[in-house]
Amino acid sequence: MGTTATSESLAAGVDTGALAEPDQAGQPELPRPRGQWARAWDRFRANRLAFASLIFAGLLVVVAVFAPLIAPYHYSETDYNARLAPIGTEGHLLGTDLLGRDIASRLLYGLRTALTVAFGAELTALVLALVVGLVAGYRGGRVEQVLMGFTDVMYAFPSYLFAVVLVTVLGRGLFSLILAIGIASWVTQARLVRAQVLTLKQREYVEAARAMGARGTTIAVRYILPNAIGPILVTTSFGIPAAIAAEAGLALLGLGVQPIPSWGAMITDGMRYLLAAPHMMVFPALLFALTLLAFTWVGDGLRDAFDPSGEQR
Amino acid sequence: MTAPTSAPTNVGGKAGDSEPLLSLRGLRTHFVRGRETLPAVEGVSFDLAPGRALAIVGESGSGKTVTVRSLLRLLPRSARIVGGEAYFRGRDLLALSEREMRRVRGREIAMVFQNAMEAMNPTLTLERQLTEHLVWHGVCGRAEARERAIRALADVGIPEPERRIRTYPFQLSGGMRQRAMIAMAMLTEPALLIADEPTTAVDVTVQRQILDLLVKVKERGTGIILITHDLGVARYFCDDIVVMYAGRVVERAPTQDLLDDPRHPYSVGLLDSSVELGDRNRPLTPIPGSPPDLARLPEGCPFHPRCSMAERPACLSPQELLPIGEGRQVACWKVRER
Amino acid sequence: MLGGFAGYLARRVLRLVVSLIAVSIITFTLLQLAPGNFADLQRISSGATTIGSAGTEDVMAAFESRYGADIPPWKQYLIFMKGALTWDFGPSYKYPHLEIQEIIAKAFPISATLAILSVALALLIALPVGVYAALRQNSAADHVAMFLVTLGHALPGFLSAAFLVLLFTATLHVLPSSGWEGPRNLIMPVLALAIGPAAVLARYVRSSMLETLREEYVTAALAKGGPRRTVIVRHALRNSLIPLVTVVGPLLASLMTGTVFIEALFRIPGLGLYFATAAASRDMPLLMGSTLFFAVILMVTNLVVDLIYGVLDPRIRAEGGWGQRRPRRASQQESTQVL
Repeated sequence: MGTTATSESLAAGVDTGALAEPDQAGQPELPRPRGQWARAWDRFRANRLAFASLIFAGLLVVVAVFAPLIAPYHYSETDYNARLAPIGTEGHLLGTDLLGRDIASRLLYGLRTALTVAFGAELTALVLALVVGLVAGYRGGRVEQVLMGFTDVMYAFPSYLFAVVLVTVLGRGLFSLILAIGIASWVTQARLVRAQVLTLKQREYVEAARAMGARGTTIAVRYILPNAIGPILVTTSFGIPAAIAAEAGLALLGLGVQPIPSWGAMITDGMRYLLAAPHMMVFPALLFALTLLAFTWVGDGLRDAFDPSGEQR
Repeated sequence: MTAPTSAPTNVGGKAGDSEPLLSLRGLRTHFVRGRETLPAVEGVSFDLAPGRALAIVGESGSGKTVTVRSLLRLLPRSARIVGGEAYFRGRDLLALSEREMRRVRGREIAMVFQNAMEAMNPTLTLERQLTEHLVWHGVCGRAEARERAIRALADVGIPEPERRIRTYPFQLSGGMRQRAMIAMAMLTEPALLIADEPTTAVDVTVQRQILDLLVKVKERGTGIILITHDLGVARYFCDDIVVMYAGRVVERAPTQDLLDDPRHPYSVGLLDSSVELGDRNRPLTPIPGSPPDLARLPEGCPFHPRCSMAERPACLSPQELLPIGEGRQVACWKVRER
Repeated sequence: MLGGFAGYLARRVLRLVVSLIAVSIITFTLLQLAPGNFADLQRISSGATTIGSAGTEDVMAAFESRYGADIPPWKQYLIFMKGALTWDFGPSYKYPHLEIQEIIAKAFPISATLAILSVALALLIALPVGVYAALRQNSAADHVAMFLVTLGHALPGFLSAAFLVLLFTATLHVLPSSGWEGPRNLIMPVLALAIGPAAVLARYVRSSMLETLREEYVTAALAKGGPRRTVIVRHALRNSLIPLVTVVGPLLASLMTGTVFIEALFRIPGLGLYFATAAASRDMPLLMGSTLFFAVILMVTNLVVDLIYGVLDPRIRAEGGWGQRRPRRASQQESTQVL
């Protein structure tokens, strides 16, 4: 509920709230209170940038799923008659690369790779983070100490570089790529989960549940988890563009999955033919940027929706 | 409905005095919040004679701080001074340019704040903070300023000032910090000192020290405006009291007169709910209700919803400050009639 | 229990050493898990893209002389670590005629140059932008600035580099897109590397400044008759920069990542490039050596940064509050500062 506007609070700069106090007859009725999730969704929807980004991101996902059906060519289909063909060449709307492969199609397959790896990696990280974070937060003890020790070590070391090392170890497959990125990034999320659990542990409904004899796991899953989801959802949604960037970066270094196309690899290839065929690099870079921005803005929107006062920034 | 601009009786001056040091007429300051306009100060007037002390008293949110900040033009960006004049040494402060105002601030009018820990920069030494404005105003050079600062610290009773001046604010005790802040303000020998709740954030023993210090300041001929919600503090050395409520003045009187015989129902309530003053055995009666929301002020007298003597329809029209005796004014039609 | 500064330093150094050992063990273990181990070169050579001209036999000989054949992993680890401590990492797989430490010594200064120049550029951009945005909070300029900041933050360095290259090399033909000959090679890499940190710093400067401007001592300084500019710089800016130091640590980590990709893209012979090619060609010793080196640099820098923070904030210094960090939480609330 809003607080009253006294001049002292104004001078002190306190945000004096937005909701009117219920009043006597003549004032419009307050809207019926909505649940927490519905309100967050309302706020998200009001944020036009975030909403538009969500639609765009959804579109990307759909395109990625149906890429093999949409793409005019297979990604490794070569056309030796039209190598390094420029934009607008017949049959190749966005041109071809050095082997005569259609750029547009490779873009679509690249999108597929990017999103597959990103969602997969983020899911991995999330699962790891949830399990470890919940246990560390709720049970504490050895698990918590190990987690905190991990974070201390990982704090200093950049996760992208750790992913590079992991890929070297795990090999070059799609699955190992997903694992590598996932393992490199679970730690921060686990900390967040743990922090949430610690806060929520003190809440009364948890104590009530415990008094009624509920077991630890039950409490953790049924009471704490649903309420912690907000912030976790936000970090997960921020993790996706990070994972997309990680996948592209790894591909750029030559550590990607051959021969499946990846935007990062396309950029590296494009560098080599920069002057002769700049379109090889332009389109992957543009699409990459747009995808990243879309998912980032969705994340921003989610964060603002769940925490409009911006206190947790 | 016009804004009340009563001609103030010279509260704070004796007959035959020279011109008042400060003459505030009809100050109106509004805050803009989204589409709303909040009248934080609505028609405040008072005079202050040189060498006298005036207390502005009222609950939190009555507009006391906004009033004095308007004088110095130190308001947040959402605030606008929409009316009034503030004559100080022959000039209207509210009409000065920013550059001219800067010359007044800290030099002719100085201000001390409630919490010295927050009002002093934690990463600068005392020397730096105490001397910088002397240099800004061209009073003297750095070296001389340092000497003056040391002497000022000694004046306010801080031991070992030559050593202390090289320390940081957090290294002083609360009382010393508060006194150092006063020393800082007085270094430029201003004609007017504004003290915004200088004793609220300190404990009782320090309160006494601060108040005695302010007495000394007054004896040196500096005018003082003291903001407080504590009538006991006001009584200590202030000559006159202005009682504010919801951005308006509701009563003005010499201190002793007000404390002996408050007239406005709000002033009565303040005294009845005050711990420090009065008979120990009488029951404490807080004023019912709470200060009004500036966005939704009651019609007419802002106090009437909480007033035990309220009568409609008379209380629904705006109350002007009406004289009721030597140097006294009250903004309540009912009191006048008595 | 040691008190004060000496105690704090001792504890931090201890933590640093422990963390380093942990990193080295983790890295070593991981590399052991990779198919093939240090001494088994057949499988490794089949996975590598190229082996240097020296040929497999020479490499094998070099390794056997160093690590011996059929030695258990933990002993290999110890040999490696002993070497590391004495600045002797042994030869690399890919460049068997070169010792790893030589490679590091040659390549690191290049990466360091890139990094330092980028940080300088980032600060040069971020400080004015952040301060300006804070002073004009919620104005159009502020919104534009923050939008650009979001862009800079979301796009990874190599992507910015790609756009820069497209603009300056492919379109305008003014800058080279690879190589390491002269200052012209520096411009785009440094710019690309600086964008991310500039965005982060600008946002941080703005929040920190907003918070500081709300402090009462800023109003008090104005009440003393302070000129606007002086108050902004001496009181507000100075104090809002102090917490900025805490951002440097994570910033450096991201900078380090950035150099890897940027050097790979521009083919600049820095440590990042060697790290990347070591990963691509499974040059285990080089990979481990450079990883360890990175880790050391990061941890030492973090320690130095913490110490500097203590120096800047006299409260920590004098009160012996070493070990209690006082980070300012960035706040985006509507400001009521008087400036």
